[in-house]
Amino acid sequence: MITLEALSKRYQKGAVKAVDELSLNVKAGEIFGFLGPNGAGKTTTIKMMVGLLVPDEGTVTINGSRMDQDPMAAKQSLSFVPDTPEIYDKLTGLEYLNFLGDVYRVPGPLRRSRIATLLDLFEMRQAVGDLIQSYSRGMRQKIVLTGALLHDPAVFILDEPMVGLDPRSSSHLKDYMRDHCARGNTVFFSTHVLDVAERFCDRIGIIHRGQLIATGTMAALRERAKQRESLESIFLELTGS
Amino acid sequence: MMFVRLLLLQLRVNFSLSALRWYWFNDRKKFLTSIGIMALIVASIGPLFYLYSIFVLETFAAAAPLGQTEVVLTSALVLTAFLIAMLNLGFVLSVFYYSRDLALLVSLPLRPGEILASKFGVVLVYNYLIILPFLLPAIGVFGFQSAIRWDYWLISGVVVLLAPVIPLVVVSLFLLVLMRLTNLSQKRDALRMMGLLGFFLGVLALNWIFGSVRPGEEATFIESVLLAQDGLIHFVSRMYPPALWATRALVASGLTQFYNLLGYLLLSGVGVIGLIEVGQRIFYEGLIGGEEVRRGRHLADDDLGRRLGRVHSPEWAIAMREIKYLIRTPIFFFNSLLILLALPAILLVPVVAGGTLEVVLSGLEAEVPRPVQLLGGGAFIGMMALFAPAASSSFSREGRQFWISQLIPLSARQHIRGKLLYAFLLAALALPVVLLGAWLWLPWRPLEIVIALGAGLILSFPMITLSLWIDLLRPYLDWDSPDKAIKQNINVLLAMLGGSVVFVGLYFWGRFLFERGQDPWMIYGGVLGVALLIGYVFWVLLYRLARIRYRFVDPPPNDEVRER
Ligand SMILES: Nc1ncnc2c1ncn2[C@@H]1O[C@H](COP(=O)(O)OP(=O)(O)O)[C@@H](O)[C@H]1O
Ligand SMILES: [Mg+2]
Repeated sequence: MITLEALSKRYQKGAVKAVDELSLNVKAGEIFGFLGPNGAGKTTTIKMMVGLLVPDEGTVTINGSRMDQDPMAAKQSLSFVPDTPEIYDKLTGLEYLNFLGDVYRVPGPLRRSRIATLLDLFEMRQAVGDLIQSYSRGMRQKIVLTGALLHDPAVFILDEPMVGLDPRSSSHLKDYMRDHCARGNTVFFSTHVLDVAERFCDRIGIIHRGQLIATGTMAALRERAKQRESLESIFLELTGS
Repeated sequence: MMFVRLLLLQLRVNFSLSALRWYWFNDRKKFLTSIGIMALIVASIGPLFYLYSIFVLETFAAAAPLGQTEVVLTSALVLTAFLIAMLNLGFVLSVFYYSRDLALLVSLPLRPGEILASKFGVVLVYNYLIILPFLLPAIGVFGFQSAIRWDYWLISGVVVLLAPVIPLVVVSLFLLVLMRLTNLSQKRDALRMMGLLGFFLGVLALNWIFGSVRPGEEATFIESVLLAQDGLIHFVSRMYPPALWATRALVASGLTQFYNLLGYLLLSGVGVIGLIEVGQRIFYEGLIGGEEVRRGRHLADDDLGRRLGRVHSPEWAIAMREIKYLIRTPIFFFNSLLILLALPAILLVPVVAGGTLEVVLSGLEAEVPRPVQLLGGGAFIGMMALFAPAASSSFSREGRQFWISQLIPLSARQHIRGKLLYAFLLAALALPVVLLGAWLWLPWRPLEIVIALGAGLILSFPMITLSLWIDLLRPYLDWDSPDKAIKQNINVLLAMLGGSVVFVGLYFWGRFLFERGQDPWMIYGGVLGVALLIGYVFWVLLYRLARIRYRFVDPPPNDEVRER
């Protein structure tokens, strides 16, 4: 579902190598956790995956479509929730959802039933008629999540999604992600909290200084950390935060 | 003194003086570019300044037989007061209530009155730039053409310095009260918008009422205005009496002069003090608070379906997003849509206020051939499309939300179509203005009106594609106050200059065709055909550029990264 091949990105005219030849394959039906400390390169990788940043080298393939060759198809099958979403706060929640429905071409009846379901899931029915600028941080997050799930994306990508979400919504989100994957879709999300990755994910990739240094289930990673000191120190860093 | 320091600091920040200094020492190239751009602005105002000076001279000559030449001073003062009231609504609002340093200033141990006074100072200084081109020609023409005493020049200095004060106080007071009254309402933005529009239309209406001569009263008008002593001056200053006092302070002598000068000074002084006093009480109450979340009501399924409405094409969705944003952000609204209203009003004011509308119209009909009139009407619509910076700031205004446009699965072509649709919908707002003008005053036949309106839409096309293209060349996305995206955006200025060049070119092309004795249809076809062609060229360029920009613009880093 997601294939990254030798993805690289430098910032500041090459001075900072944020992502370094990162290759990764995530299969359909998987919840994949992208775990790494702050500044490891998670956001940069994700921005390249969703087409917001053009990689210096390497390719991104989403649901069989290359981001550089057929961006329309790739984008149509993914959705993305950024870490601090800047969204249209002069629109009402409903107008925002309708806008996304129009640009992702979600047919009317389907749109209505999905919006109804998602609003119930996140308990947003009361606020959805108001301007987004009046929303709290958590409500903002929830309207972005609702919008992102509106077209039932094959690949659902989230950057640090649990920050600012209340426990109940976060547990609802987890259930929804399970469900979503059971229907053959893929969820990919980044976090710097080991705990979160452990609770949510089938498989985890650890990124450090732009490089993917290990992938596997949490149990397998813990096992390996006992042998590899570098991995263990990263684990310590991640549990600390 | 605290206040003086605050004011100086505000001026330095607002006029980028510190930035210029820094550029001078650190980045000579950027310094030269800034200076070059300023020179460009001055140069582009030059011709208008010249035309206006000629207009003043002719008014002076026309008033000479009536012995009322000082009317050039009165009209200039009334005109500037009117301009200030019209042009400053959005500006004062953004400086008083939406500037970025307010959060900081409010937390410092300053009195609200002090903050307000320093902000008022900034606005005042900006306004000297607006009024000088209007006041100087009048003062110069009168001064050099009449026998005056030395004190004329001295007092005219005082008058120029005071000229923006009273109208600005009125605008500021209105805004203070409006912001205070609406702050706690849930429909704050909408109410404020309506209030501002009301003020705007109110000033226009007053101007209309005071400026027009009722039918049947033309004879009394001539007798009381043209023939009576000082009649014209009284007439012109009916709407804004301080202009009369200032005129007398300039040209009268003895006690009359003294009392009028005193009155003018006192009113200005009392106005400023009153403003600061009122601000001391209610400035913060319009500024702070009102952010609480409204609990809406639970939306049932039927309701939800109804409010979601119909499914639209992606292009339509883009266009509607643009329009909603433009209308709902007060700063955007006032600097684009309202300009559409203000421009024709400003063009008409000198004519209507001078009571010379009939003369101008019959002159127009006699001197200007019909095809030229029609194309002129069309050009007016095209100018609206250009000078309401709705297209030339369109990408910039997306700001940090541009990532959404990059993320959604639309082709560059679809994005551009959406933007074009939006820009045309706005340009179409100028159609009723021309329609109304034609219907009220001009003897155009229905077919001719259709030609003018059609020409307007066609002439808007190159303006829109050119403006969008310029903005997309270097979209300014990393702004933090909406003001910067539209008023302090160099793209807007460049688009206006570029569009003006196109207009001038089209004008000479049309004139060439006309002088060659072409028949009207050839002239329409020639001018509009070239306009279409230019529009098409920029459309292609725009589309090509969009394919690159929507992919390669890096979203501005978020605050977290910026701080590292
Ligand atoms: N826009 C940018 N310009 C310059 N450097 C950046 C930018 N974005 C990120 N970086 C740098 O790239 C590295 C990776 O950052 P990021 O991808 O945001 O990490 P993470 O999301 O894992 O915290 C960091 O060193 C960060 O400072
Ligand atoms: Mg990050």
